[in-house]
Amino acid sequence: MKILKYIALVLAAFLWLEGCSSGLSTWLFEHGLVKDDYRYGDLYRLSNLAKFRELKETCATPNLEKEQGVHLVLAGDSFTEFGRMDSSNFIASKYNYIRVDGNTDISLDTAEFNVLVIETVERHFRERFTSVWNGVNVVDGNGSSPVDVVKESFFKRAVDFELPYSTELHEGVLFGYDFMMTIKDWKAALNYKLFDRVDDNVRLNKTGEHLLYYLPSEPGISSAFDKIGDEEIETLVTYVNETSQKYKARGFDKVILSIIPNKTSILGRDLGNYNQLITRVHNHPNLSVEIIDAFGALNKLGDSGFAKGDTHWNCRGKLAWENLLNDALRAKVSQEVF
Amino acid sequence: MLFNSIQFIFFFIVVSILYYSLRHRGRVWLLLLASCYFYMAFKPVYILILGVTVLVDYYAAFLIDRAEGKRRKWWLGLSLVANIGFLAIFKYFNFINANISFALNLIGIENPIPNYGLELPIGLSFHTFQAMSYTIEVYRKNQKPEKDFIIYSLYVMFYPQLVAGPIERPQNLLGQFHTYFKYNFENIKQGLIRIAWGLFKKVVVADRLAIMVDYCYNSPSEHSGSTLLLATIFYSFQIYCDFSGYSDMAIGCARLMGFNLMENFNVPYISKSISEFWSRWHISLSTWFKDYLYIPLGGNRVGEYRLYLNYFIVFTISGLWHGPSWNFIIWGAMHGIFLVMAMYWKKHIGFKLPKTSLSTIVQVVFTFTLVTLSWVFFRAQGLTNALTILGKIINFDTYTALSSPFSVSELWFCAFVILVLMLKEIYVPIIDTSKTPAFYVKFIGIMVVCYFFGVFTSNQFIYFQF
Repeated sequence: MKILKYIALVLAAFLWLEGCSSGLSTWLFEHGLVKDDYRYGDLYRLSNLAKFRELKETCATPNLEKEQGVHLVLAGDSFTEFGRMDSSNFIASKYNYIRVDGNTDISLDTAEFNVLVIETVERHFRERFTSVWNGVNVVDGNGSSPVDVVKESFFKRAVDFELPYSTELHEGVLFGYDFMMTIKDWKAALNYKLFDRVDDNVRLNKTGEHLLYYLPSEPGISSAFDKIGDEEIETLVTYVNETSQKYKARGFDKVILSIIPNKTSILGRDLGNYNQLITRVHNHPNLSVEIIDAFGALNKLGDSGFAKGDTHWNCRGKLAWENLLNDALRAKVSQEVF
Repeated sequence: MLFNSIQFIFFFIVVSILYYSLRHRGRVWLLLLASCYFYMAFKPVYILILGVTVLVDYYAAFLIDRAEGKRRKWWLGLSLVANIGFLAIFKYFNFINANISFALNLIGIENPIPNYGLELPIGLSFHTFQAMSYTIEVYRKNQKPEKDFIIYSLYVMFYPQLVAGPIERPQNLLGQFHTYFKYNFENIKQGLIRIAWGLFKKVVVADRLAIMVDYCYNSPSEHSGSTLLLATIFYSFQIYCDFSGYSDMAIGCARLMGFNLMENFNVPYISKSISEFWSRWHISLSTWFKDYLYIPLGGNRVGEYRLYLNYFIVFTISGLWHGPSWNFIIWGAMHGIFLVMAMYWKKHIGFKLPKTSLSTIVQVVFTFTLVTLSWVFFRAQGLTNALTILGKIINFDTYTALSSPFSVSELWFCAFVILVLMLKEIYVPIIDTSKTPAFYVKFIGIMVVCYFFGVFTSNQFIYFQF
């Protein structure tokens, strides 16, 4: 009995510690003892609807011929982050990825052809361009480095001190196993069948074929169904143009905008009146910035461009966008040559 | 750390196993450290406030005990000022200051004192009241000062009831910390089944009803009177299950370690009058106000109209205890007025309903209606919203189609679980755990229902904000 008691104690303490230590959970993950709970996609992770449980694909690494003297700075979000994309996906000889929602120093070599691509998902486009976008600081020197974080006062740090525990980390570690996910699937199926209820953060389209991300705060500026007046489109275009002018003045040879459509805008248009944000920006007569038409490409692909249980594109959707960007880079280089 | 969180499950298992592995002194230290961790999991820095409260009252008790005559009152006064001072600074300063600003603005003067943005330490009103009951009982010579600082600290900080009660009295709880409870499987069973039932109330009933309540109360002007009425009825059960669910879990956690905490609820929605409601709802707070405010004001040994005034004062302050807003004050005052009206009716009009089942039902429904309507002020965000909701509920012309975030089946499910809840609370107040196999079936059954039908959206307990 005593042995059982101490086994239970050690086990419970260990399981508790997993939620308190990101180091321990990383170690467990690296040694294959726990599994990545995002492996079936972020939307599946939220909804646990078994129909959308599909392992994320591993995309083949393309064998691209590099264009020397092309420097690509990609300011992007989760669609283009490391893990999904890296320098091997582009023809540029030099590549920097920075967060579109951050603020990063970049140094440019004026002898190179410098291209800035601002990639943002549609649901954040309006908030990113409420003013001129300011995510890059062009500086002298080598490489890119994050801007110094402002040091907080001792008092503030003391007040904000947190005990090392993360619910998300803990849930990820404990419930990442297939067995646990199956139990979660049963619960999700029960609630969906009985109450037509899925997780607050997801929605199914009318036919129930597609799993979509849904912010509880919708309708709001992140929603594909939020009405947008022509004046706001005009303002957004103005800020996009001014952003382009600003970064061209600071040494970029080209600035390209790419708005990645929400999955809802492609596969869930039956849920409401789509506001056509992307096409209205793309077709605006005053828009003077080159665009990569991700909407067109993904719309053409339809559901074959998106992962089943994820908000993001799958390998086909990703490749379509990379091809468009590489084509744009090649076109730039050709223009320069002539 | 929430009782309905994963973190708590492991915290609780570890603490409970260690508890039964230690001798008495080790247990006391373990519980104190665990309580500190439990509290610090919310916002670590506020442990300092708790620490100061503990220190002040620990020494104040000795000073009160040793002093004679008026000095006793002075020391008690100082201790109460320190306790109420924390409440005033953290909970009421902004409210009072905003009202002063409003009053000064009316005569064209600008208030030079700005509001500040300090967050309210979780459960401040609960542990402050528990600490105050200690010094008052020492003053009244009902309790000897606790010499053991660690045990006294534990009295204020005992984690099961630290942030949302039951608000204990030293006579009941302090002595238990001096007792060495031997391992007893009956305690484990009773504790676990109580925790499971509390969890059921919280995640299956309260948090599901909260979906409808939040949907309506976040934008009341968009909903019909019938929708708001349904949401308000749901809120009555939500707040009951949320708070009594917490109390059940607190009592269960303590029971598992051998401790007996006082009961906080006794099926309040079967009350036949407002006074009966208050003898069944948040019993630890209503008895606190009775013992430490109502009786010092003169109790029932005063004239008729003074008695009415006393009730009104007690209930209004009880409203203010819940939160620094006019909504809570009005909620408390409404209950005070209901009670005074009932007393006046009884004394001067004296009409009594015949003692039949029908009259009992009428009385229960009438009391439930009054309580439910008063919850509108408790839940609504601001006075304007509360008045909008009440206006729509009272005006039948606004009773258009029902809008709801629930499917029809989910609405029926809510009605079903409310029915199950009430039947259980009335007919099976204590779940029998005497037969071990039956206990396992019940415990696992409740937990399975909690998992499959529970809503786990990290909803805090409503009473944590107080």
